[in-house]
Amino acid sequence: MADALSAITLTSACVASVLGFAWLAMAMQVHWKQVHTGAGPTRLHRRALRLLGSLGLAASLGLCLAADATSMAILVWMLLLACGAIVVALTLCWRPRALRLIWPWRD
Amino acid sequence: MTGIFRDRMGALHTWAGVVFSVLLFAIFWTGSLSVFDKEIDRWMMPATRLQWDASAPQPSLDRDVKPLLEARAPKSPAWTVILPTERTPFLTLTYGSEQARKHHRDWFDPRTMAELPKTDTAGASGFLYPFHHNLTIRYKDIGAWIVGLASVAMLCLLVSGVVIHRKLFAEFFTLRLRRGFGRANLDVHNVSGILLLPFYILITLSGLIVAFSIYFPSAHEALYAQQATPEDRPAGQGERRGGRQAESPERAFLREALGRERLTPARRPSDVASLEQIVADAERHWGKGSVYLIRVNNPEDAGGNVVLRRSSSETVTKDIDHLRYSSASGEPIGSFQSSTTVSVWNFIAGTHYLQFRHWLLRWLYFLGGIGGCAMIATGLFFWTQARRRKHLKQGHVGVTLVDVLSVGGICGIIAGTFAFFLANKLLPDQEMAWGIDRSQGEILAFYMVWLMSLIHALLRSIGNRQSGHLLAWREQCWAIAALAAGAALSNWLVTGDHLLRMLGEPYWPVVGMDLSLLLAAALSTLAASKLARRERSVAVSRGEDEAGDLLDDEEPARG
Repeated sequence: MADALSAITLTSACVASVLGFAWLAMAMQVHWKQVHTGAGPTRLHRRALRLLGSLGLAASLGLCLAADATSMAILVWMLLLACGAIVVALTLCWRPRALRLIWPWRD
Repeated sequence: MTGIFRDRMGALHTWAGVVFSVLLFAIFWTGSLSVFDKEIDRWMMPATRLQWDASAPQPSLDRDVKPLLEARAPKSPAWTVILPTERTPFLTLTYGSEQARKHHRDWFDPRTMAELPKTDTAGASGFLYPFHHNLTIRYKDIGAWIVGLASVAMLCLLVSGVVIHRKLFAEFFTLRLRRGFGRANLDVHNVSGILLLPFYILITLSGLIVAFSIYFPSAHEALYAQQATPEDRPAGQGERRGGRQAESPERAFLREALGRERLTPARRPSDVASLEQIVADAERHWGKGSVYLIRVNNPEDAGGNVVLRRSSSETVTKDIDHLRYSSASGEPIGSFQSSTTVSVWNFIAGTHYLQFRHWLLRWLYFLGGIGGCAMIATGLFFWTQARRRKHLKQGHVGVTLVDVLSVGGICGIIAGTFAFFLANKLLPDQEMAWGIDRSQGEILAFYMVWLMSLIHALLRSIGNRQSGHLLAWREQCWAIAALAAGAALSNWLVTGDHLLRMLGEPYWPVVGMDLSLLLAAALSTLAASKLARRERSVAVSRGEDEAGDLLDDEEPARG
């Protein structure tokens, strides 16, 4: 039971790190263009995306801390961040449009 | 100013990279595999594939274990009992004899107490893991020093790599895998380098700190040489070393830092008290199920002791605390708690040794290590990619030499590792020709395949300096695919534990190993077919490689 709970928490931490980096990436003009063709994000969009992205990464840290002892949670988080960013980089390379799902608004 | 600095860092990155990459690749590769050393051991030692059941009762120390030790090793100076854990699901007993310095190590099924037959193999923990930290060159710690030098080079490469990266944040997520080999290769190098940078720093630095007694012995030797004056010494110690001579600095250091005491025998025979009661007493301090190792020193002597070690499966810090009891009376006689400094060291060592129970983190370390391999390999590709045309035009051997080294250093060690696994299944479990037994045969297979890969790469590259390296890469990718698939297949044929059956049980160590082998085979087949396409395109437009599209940004080509 405790194992199942920590598995759910850690899976959520993975998802949060991917979402966080995806939003942060979309706040960048070059990646916004890959996802939503056209000009870059408006200032409002950029701010919202950056805020959400940072919250995603923070949530992933919080979930790691909830699942494990602090020292272990920091290690897990550090490596989950790398994984999340790599997943986002690969998505931007192969299926950039898929990221519209998590931020469908264009202006 | 910054331009000059960046150029110098670029030169450092280029030279440290080309000199140390092959060595670093070998260290990262064997290190990544060592993350799963126990699981690979289960695959290589089929007799130890026991299902772990945390709720099953542990064997009784007094009823099952003590009589076994008394029968097998009555004269042994020490008995060690290692209780079964999730990753090593069997009971381990080690003992020695006064005459033979060699230790016996026997394994038992904890449910039936039947002895497990031995597989004659070093396994991953006996070969790949030592290779990772000393390249199996133990003489005068030369191997460890080479690894240490490579680690320092790695730190230089990491720092200089960050300095020369011009678009660290702008290209944080940028992977242009479909824009030709040169661009894609450099993007993979940059992204895997930057995103895993904290991991590389942690793992490289902790690797150096773990082995401080090899790399920096003068500090504690000097300090403890001063301290180890005869007055400080506890009574009785040092006498065995002959009168005036003080305890060696090394020993004084180990006693204070790790609590290693040397025991003086009372020379009166005695029985060993109830081990179960001793463990029960320790568990009142440490918590239920916290003892993982029980060592009885001088079991037949009234002055003997029982040392209990605490498991550290729930924390990063490698716990070295222990409790000591009199082996004759079972009364507690002392304890050791590491100092703050030692605990910090144990924490750093814990991040490198990875002995705790956390499957996600274990996989992440493995993937991080493989990411490091990818970074090193793409770095080498970039070196040759950026210089190929120039060197070939000038008749320079540099690029051919690095081609041979990269094929031999990357494909060679991967093929060698899979040959090591395959040999484990195919070689007979008995002495073969020239007195070589199976465990030596496996290691021989590893080195022979590696050597053959180097020779093959050399012959191909000399045979055709334009595109011979592509042929060498492709053929060796096929060899890797065949060896990996062969190893997975031979596990089925020899042990009968095929993938579906192991998935049905489920027995994860073998499932993980077989699936990883099959995945490796699939990936190298993919690489081989891509290389075939590239060879054709090179043949069509000789000399027109994509070097042009990456020279507009990033590191300027040097030659």
